[in-house]
Amino acid sequence: MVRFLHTADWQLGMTRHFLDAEAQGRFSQARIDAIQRLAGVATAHDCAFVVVAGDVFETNQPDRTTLGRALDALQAFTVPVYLLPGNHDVYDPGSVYRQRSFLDRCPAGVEVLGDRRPRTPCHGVQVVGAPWTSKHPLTDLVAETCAQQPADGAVRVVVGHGTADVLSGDFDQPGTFRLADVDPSIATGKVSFVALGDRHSTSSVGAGGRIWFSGSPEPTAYTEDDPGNALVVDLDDDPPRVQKIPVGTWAFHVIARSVDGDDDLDHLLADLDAVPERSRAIVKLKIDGTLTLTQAARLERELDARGDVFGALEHPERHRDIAIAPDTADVQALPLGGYAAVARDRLLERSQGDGDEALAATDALGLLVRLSAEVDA
Amino acid sequence: MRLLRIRLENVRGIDACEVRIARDGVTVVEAPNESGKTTLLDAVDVLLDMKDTSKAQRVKDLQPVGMDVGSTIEVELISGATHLSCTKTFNRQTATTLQVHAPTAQQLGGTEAHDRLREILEAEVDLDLYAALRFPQGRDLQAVPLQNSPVLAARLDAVAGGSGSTDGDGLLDRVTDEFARYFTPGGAARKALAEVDARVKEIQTDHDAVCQQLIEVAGDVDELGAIDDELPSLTGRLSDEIEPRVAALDEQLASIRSQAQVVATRTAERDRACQARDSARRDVRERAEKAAFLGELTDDVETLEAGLDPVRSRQRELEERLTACDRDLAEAVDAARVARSEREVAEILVDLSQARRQRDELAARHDRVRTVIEEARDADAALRTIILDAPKLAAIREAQRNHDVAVATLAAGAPTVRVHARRPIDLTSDGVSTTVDTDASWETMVGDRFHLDVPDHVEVEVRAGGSTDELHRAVVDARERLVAACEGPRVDDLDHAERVAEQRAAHETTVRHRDDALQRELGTATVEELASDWEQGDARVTALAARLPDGVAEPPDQQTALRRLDAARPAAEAADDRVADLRADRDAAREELAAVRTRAATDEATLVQRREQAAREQAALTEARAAASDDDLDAYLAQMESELAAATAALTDAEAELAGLDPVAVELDARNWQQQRTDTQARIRTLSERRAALRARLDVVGEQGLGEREQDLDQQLARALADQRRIHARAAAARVLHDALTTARGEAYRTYRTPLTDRILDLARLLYRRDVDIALGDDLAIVTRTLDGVTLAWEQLSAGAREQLAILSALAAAQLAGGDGVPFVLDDALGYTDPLRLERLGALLGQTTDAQVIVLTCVADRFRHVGGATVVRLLEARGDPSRG
Repeated sequence: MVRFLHTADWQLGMTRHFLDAEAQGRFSQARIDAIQRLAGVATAHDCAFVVVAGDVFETNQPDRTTLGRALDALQAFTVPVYLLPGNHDVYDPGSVYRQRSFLDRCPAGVEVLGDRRPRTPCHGVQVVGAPWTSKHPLTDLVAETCAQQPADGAVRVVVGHGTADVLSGDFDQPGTFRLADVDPSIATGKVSFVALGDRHSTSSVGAGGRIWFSGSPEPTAYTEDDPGNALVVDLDDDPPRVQKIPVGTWAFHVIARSVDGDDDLDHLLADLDAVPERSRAIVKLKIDGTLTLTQAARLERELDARGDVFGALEHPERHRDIAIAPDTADVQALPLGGYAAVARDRLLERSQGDGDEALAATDALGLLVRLSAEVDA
Repeated sequence: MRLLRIRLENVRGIDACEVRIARDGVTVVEAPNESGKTTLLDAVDVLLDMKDTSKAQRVKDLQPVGMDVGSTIEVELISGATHLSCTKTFNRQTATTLQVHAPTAQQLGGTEAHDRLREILEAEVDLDLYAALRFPQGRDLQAVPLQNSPVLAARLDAVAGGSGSTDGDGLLDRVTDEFARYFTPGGAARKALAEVDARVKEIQTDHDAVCQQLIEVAGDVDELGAIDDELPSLTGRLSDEIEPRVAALDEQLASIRSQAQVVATRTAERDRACQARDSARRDVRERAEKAAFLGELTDDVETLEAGLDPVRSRQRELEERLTACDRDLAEAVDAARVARSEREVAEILVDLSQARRQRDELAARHDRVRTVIEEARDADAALRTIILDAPKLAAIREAQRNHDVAVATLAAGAPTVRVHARRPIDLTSDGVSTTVDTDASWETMVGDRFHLDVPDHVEVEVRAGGSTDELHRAVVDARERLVAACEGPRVDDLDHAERVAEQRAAHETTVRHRDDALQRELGTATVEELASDWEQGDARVTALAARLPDGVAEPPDQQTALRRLDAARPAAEAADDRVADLRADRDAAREELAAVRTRAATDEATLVQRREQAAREQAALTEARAAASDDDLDAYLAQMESELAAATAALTDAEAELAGLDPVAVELDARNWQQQRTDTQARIRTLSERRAALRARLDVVGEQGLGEREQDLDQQLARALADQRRIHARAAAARVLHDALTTARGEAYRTYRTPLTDRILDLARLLYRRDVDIALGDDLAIVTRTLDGVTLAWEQLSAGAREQLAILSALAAAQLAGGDGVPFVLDDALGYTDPLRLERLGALLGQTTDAQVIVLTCVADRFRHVGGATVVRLLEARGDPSRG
């Protein structure tokens, strides 16, 4: 039985602008911890080897802490591990894999697929890499590598990195491989399985079930469909049997709503409160609509109160996606008299205009609403 | 707020007292100084402000001196709908109780009571107005600022036609706090805004720096990639192309070098043949040259022999001429020596005559100088012995004159004693014995006292009367002064003094003339220099006399000597000229003779040398021809020419063969390919070294985590920019709101000024009973007062006017505030106000019914005009009038 673990796109060292320092620390550590979990999966499923199909590191100049922890975590594997340089960690002369700090501390069972030479992790099985050696490859690395293999009946796994043309529709993008050029190699028995990286969502390409994207072990963006998995592949079956093993701990959520009143705000907040595992949830609110000053102040208050609960809570800035309409009744209901009322009325009048002055007047009215509430309290 | 009752117990000097205050109108609290009037209201303030547990100084000050007891204060007040009583005990057995009577009865204790009291006060009492309407003792005479009173503002707003709302200031305070988070009072951005901008800039700078480093890393990576591409290509070309080509060219070069060796050998053979031919040519040429040289020598001998005779003839002529010249010259030299001797003698005689005259003159001057000096020395010695000078002489003359006058006066006024002798008697008068013959008389003048003794007969003493005695004393005094005047200069009397003065004048003249004479005789020289000149002149005379030849007599005078010199000089010059001419002739002859002798000797030596040389050349030529004849030499030369032609032909053949191997092109190719090999090896070395350096640098940079750092900074920047937008938006909102509120408040206060001005003017007209006007500032304080058309600024007003207007202003505010107002407190005020206006102010206070006025005074009479006032006498209100 030939079984191996297919994973990719660890993106170690990735940072996200919407994470504060504390959350970023947890987010980064989660990616390191995922390596340990993958090692556990490999052991649990009796995998003969592991392929990591590119983008092990987010950059070729990772922080030494990131590199050190990654190499330390890799020691958890008890079977050979093949790391493929992808477009983020290109195997160029400046590659992280060529740096002394990597070479000196790389565990014995870990090998970088820096060229297309076949590796033999176990009898009768070859692993062939199609590494990125520059940021802008001039040829179809995956198809070319597949085509170069002999039809000798060996069990052969080609490890590649790049977008499939049938998925992206962009044939000119660097690294995109043509499915039509890969299929013949599979059909002629040159290649048993193509293990791919770059697409962070777990997915199969083509009809034969032999070309797979494992997806990233931890999610990285809102746009990913099914991240957080690794694949256990049995090559003995035809087509190979592929098991999707969830390993991710973080999640991205997008909550899109139109808010035009207190009811909408209630629903929006209910959606937010329904998000599970909120400390590891990264939530983006895509909201539009029109709110009064009071409602806008409420929204701001409620979001501020929840901001520390989530891993990250992204929400639109004032005036950008949400129109704030200072309705007269709302503001005039403030218990103001004397010159304060005169000032309020003037701001209301200015807020009805256009441009920055009106926005500033609206913001001032919002502040007036908030401070009035504080004074009354 | 209205204060209704104040009760104190053990507060400062007050043991116990209770004061009830009218809710509306005026309450006058009378008490002497230092009896606790001010303590009343200070105690109210402490109760309203402080917790019973407070250790503040103003709380400690409540305790009576020397008594360790608690101080209890109770205040009953009403504010709006709230009616309460609060009691607090401070310092000892502290306690607080609050009893709210209305609107809802409530009783609280401790901190809860204090907090509730503060809550009620802050909600219902205009504390700013309460502070503004306090006129404590010694208050600065400033205008009363009323702009911070919300109650007054609301009333003024209502009077001015507004809503009468009291809202705004609390909100403005909060807005001002918010504004102050971002801006200074002047509107400048605060550190908070600058910091957020600086944060963005700082991150941007760091980000740019890391990006720059990454660009450099990318450059290194590209360069390393290029090197990795180039190195194998270079290595392959070196081994596959350059090295084989260099080896082939080395073989060709070896063949060329071999042929070149042949050419070199042929060239050496040709050179040797050429040298042999040249040697034969040289022998033939030298043989011909020697023969020709021998002929030339023979010709020279003949020519020299022919030219030697005329030279020898000329030599003899010149030798004779030189002998004649020497003889004439010797004669002329003797004649010249005689003439010069005569001229020298004549010159000595002239000099000697002149030297004698100069020496004699110096001797005479020296004698005169010595005489003058000796005379002056004697005069100086005499002067040193004469003490008398002009002042002393004048004093003696004056003393003498005074004495003469005294004597004359005595003579004129004194009695005279005459003794007429009937027989000869000897008498003694004042110690002087005299013999008076018979019938002779002796007479004397009686001065001070006269004593006459005729021995054995009579002794008479006559004493002068009063006036005579004085005259006599004057004479004695004058004499004593004369004697004293003469003692100093050591003279006997005036005559002696006059003689001594004449001697002194003569000596002084001598001394004075000495300086003139010395100046005349010596000039700037000294006596010693004059003596030296004289000695030198004498020595010169002696020396000149010694130079005269024996037998020469000195002329009688200098003129004779000069005439002799005039005759001797031309004769000596003529003799010298003759000698010079003859010496020139002789020298010319001597010079020509030397030249002719040299020519003759040279020619003779040359002739001998030519003869000997010709003999040697002839012998050598004969010997050489005996060894090899001229024909033998010619035959040998022909043989060498033939051998040279053969060697040259062999060399030409070898060179042609070498040229066929194209050595230049091969050499060029070889050098070029060797250079290529060197260049390629160097390039490989350079690239290898560069590759190692880049690799090392990338390893170092790889440790720095630049890529991750760039991402981190990129995301920090995004967050910082968002923070910046948010904070600036908040700051802008705070500024807009703050500006809107302050602008509106300023406008409102300008509106409020009219009703407040009207109310103050109503009171002022009643006070002044004249045409008066005032103007208020933005703080609602009085800034100018116009009385009878004269406008003065607040600071220009008298102390009394300022005090009265301040009180009117506060009273107007208290009246406008009405039921929502606060007590208007006058503590020992109106000290600057005259009685008439005091009376009118009393009337104004007395008609106040819609405000609470509390007057504390130690001068009860000052407020006797306040009609309807409630009067409280503090000492009566206190239990123990002896304390305080």
